[in-house]
Amino acid sequence: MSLATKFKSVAAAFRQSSITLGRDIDGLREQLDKLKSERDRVAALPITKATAIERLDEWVGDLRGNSRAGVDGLVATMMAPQKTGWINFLHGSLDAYYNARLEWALADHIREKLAAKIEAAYAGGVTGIEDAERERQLAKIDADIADCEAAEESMIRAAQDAGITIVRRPDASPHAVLARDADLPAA
Amino acid sequence: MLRIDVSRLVGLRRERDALSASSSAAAARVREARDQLEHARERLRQARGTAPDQFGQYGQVAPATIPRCEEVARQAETEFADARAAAEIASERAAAASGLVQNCERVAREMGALK
Repeated sequence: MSLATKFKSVAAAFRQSSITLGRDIDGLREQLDKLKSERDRVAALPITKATAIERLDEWVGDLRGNSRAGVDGLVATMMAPQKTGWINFLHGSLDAYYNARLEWALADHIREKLAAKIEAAYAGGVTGIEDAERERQLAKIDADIADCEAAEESMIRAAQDAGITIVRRPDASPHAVLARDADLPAA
Repeated sequence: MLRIDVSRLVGLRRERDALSASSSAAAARVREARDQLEHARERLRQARGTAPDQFGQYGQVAPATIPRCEEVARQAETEFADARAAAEIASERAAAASGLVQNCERVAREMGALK
């Protein structure tokens, strides 16, 4: 084989390696995009129906507690010997005054209506997730993302060693980019 | 969690500086291409008699040169567009490298590996 032919085949092999490497990196980056989308999806999943109802009950409990004091004050005002006081009080903040008392009177009704809305939302196809399950899934995705980032960095370094420059993503993980060679998977 | 090797920052900063220099060079090429384009357009206007030549005279450039001037102006436009596109890519790469180095420096500092 002549020297020129040999160089030609080496150049062709190098070119083919560059193309393969480029495809591998692109594949990894696509995988990373998918994992990040999946992470966003899991992070945004609603809680379970039971937890949503628990939250509703907690909120209605607060509503009752906050308005009860105002109602007791109103009852005392009604029973007071002079009525001047409560008239002045009414002029102070009419909306807040009445809202507080309506909440007390309607708390059960509000709870019932909101609970029905929540039930309907879940019946309409919303899938809830327990907090612990969400954390488990996110941890798994984060581990997969870290593996992908490490593999990508390993490939970039291998390419650099072969004289091929691959620009790192601006949002590449600093932990992967600064990792020791020995800690990265072999490219 | 991967252990970090802070000495890798040296290489990253070098890459960032190289990309920044490339970006500056690309920007200089854009300025040069723009100058050439403006010059070519001026020559074309002079050839068409719609702009004065260097002596303030109109219609002194031979009309026969118009096709050639048009060709030169077209080429200059293409070169300017290419230079601008290249400069945009170079600028994006430089910004990306700069952002990456900043992120790495922040993480290295947080991990106590960099003051």
